[in-house]
Amino acid sequence: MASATPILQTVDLRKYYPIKEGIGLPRRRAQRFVKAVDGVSISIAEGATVAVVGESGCGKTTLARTIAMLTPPTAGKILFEGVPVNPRRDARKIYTKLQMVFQDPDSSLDPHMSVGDVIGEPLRGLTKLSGREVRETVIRTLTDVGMGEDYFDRLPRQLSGGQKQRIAIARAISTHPKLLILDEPTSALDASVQAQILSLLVKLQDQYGLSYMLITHNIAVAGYLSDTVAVMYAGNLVEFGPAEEVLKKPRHPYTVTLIASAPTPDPWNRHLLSTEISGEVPSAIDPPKGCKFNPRCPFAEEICTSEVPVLEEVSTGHWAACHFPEKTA
Amino acid sequence: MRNTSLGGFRSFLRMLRRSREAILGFAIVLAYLLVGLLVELADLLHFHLLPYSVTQSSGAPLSPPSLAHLLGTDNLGRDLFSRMLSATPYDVAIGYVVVGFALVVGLLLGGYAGLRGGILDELLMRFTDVFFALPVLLIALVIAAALNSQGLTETAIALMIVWWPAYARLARGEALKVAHQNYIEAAKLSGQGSVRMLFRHVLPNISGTMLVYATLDLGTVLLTYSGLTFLGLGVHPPTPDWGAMITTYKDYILSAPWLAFFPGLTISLGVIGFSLLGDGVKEAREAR
Amino acid sequence: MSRKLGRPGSTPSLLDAKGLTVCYETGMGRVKALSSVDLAIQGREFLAVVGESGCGKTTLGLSLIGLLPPKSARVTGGSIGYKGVDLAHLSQSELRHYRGSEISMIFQEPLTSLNPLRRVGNQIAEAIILRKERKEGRTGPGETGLRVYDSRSSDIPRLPRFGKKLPRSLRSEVSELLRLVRIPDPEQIIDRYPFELSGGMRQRVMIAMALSQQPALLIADEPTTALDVTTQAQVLRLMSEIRDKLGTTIVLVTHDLAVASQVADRVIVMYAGEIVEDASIYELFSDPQHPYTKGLLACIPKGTRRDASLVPIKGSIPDLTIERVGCKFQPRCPYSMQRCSEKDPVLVRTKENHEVACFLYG
Repeated sequence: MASATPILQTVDLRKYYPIKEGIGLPRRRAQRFVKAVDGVSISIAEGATVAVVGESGCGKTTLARTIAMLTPPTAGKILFEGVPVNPRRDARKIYTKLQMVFQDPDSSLDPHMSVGDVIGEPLRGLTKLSGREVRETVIRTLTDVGMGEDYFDRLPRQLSGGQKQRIAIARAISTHPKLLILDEPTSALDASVQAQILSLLVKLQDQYGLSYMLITHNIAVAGYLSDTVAVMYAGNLVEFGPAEEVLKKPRHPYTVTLIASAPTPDPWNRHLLSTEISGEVPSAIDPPKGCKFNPRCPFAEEICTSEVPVLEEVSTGHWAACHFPEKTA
Repeated sequence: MRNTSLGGFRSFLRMLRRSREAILGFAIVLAYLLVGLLVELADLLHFHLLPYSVTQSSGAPLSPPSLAHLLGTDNLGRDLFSRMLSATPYDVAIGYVVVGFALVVGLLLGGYAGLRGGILDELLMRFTDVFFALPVLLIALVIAAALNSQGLTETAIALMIVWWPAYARLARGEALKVAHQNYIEAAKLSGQGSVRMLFRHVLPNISGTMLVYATLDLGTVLLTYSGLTFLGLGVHPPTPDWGAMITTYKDYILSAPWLAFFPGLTISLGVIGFSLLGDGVKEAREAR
Repeated sequence: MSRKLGRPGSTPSLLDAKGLTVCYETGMGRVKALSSVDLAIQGREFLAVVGESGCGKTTLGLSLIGLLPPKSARVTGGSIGYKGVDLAHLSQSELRHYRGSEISMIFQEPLTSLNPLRRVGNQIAEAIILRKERKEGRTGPGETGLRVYDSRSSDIPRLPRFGKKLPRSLRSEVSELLRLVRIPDPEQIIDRYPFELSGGMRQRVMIAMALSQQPALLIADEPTTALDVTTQAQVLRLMSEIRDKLGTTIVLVTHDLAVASQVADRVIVMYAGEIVEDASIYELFSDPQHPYTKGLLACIPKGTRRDASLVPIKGSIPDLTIERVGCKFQPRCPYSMQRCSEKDPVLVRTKENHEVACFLYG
């Protein structure tokens, strides 16, 4: 891994949601848990873009929200710029340097707040800038995301999906954070609008030296935007490495299937029709023993049903959690 | 922070114009309000607005409506029309006072509970449930006994105590919907505390629904209050009140039916007016 | 500028829409969702209808099956020719003869398409029973569609009451259908309720119901948009198999050109209520002609950001409440000419299996 301090690091991060069954006091009732994030250790270098890829239920959104301290972790550590973070105490301090953009542009903006107020909210809450300074910063940020000063007084209902997402991005960068968590930032947008937003994200990253943590289920977007790709399955990281490596030469059976299932605009290569994948994402409450992917894995053997594989380096900087990585080489 | 409520009022009026019922309801409510205000003002400024005295006899007892006495006279010869007018400020105000109180308490309590969730939400809602269980008549009697007096204020207090829980429940439900929106998370990421979030984000977004409910509810308060005064609580004999009038004049229903009829009509019309207005507002919002 | 007449030397089309125009009444005015659309769909074809939101692709799908919302949408022009009948001008009761039996449709969100209170097996059985009744001539065009159990015939089984499990007589047929759509453990699934199934399974149940009628044409409106990538691959593969094995014509409405490239034979690209390009899949990707198609292809992220291959289309989708003269794409088109703001181009054949509506080509 990089020699400089990574901007963000998690150590064995876990987030379990208790299922309340039966009657009685909360402590006695919760015996079973939804293990949304089940021990994830990830690091993001400064200026880098790490894409966390996976399907629904894999825990990537929970991971993002836990890192953003919107929900407290059940176990494990979060380090920001090398310093351990206590979600309850340090949240406000960290938020000047860490921000988030959400998936749904419609629920990201308060329908009663004008564009200027929306973008200025973090400035008013986290900095001590005067009213005039806030306004100036907001206008500058509006220009950064390609929208003019005339948008200042508009309301969300007067904006299109793409414009709303730009405002959400503007709000996130108004305090000049160092790390931006992007939770499926373009999934709800049309293709042409998605391209505009992706270009904007690239431009902003170069302009401000931002680090991105991109959560997405779209392999193409992950490949386009990121340097490093992390693949999640059922709450765990199953593969991690440089984008080129992971996407072109995947070393975990799940990643292989995921990439083969992702549609590419190439009618001469209809890999989608020839991939075989059976079964479905396992229950997060009662996952399979051993490697969680074993019921669906074409290479599964005895050991896969009993021992949980750990991340091992399969080539430089490329890690996979599989007992038989040679099968995918 | 930029306020959109003034523009909102104008668009509110425009919305109402779409439905005939809403216009009618609004007209009735406005009429009642204006009459109530005028009568109260006249009273404060010692201006003689009422044609006759409210407490003294001014004509032959039990005379039917005529040009001299528009709604007739009662068993003591008092002019019914003047009496009815003088009751207007109280009967109209009671609705706004009780609903206003319930709305404020409900929004704050319910809104905060819905926003915070968890144990706080449970505690606040259980607290609300306690008040929910109280029956209005019983409380009115208890308060009257406790404060050792029985009048408008005491009845109003009783009504306020039992009225707010429904608003808290409703506000909590609406706040829960808002609490799951991404802009609330964004507010947390902006360093906003719960209280600020309540006022900045939750209340503006739940007020619409709550106001509709409140408008419809005004009529119910009036009806309940009239029921209480009919039973004898609330105001003392000389002071006029529509519900109390029905009690007093029910004995004359055969000989002088107009005495019980007009107060009843006025109450009904008031309730209908509030209902129409509330329905109109609800429909107008849904159309948008 | 030749008008499209039909592919030379081809068999007569299964479905032929000519000059189809559909208008919606919205709070903001009248919107022309479809503008004089000409589309001939062949049998055994896998057609993809591609476009962004507001282009009219969903409206097109709904028009073909007669499911336009009656209060707000109307076919204001054109026809939809199917087996000698104009579907666009049939009454609802007449349409019922075709809908479900000849032309079937599946939607994006299977959870709202299935009755949450009835077991999955029962819902599929209902569809099977309906088909049998149709075959026996119990329901036909002109009937109200009310099912009346004729005591004379005892062949057609009765549907079990609310909540009860399916009797053995129907189970084997339902199992067959579920096996056809590759649902594992069909015997178990028959007794499940929709909420117990995952999104992918529900979508497959929907396809099973649609297929139970043995339709000639299956319209799928964004069936995989709400599904995971791997599940999407499974469902798309299934649809391809259905076309290969049963000969069903498939019309896949999607916003994703990449998805279309993986399964379709032919693509039509729609913009602002019009078809701008109509070509075989290989033609479209090797020689995209319409500037919008080129723009869409350039929008798909490929490779890394340093490739600089991602070129967004400038501008945004036009406001359809405002009627404009000329080509609808003109404000955003890098090749626009004087002519483009004066007249609206129609589809012109430029090659075998390739038509485009653009003045760059005549």
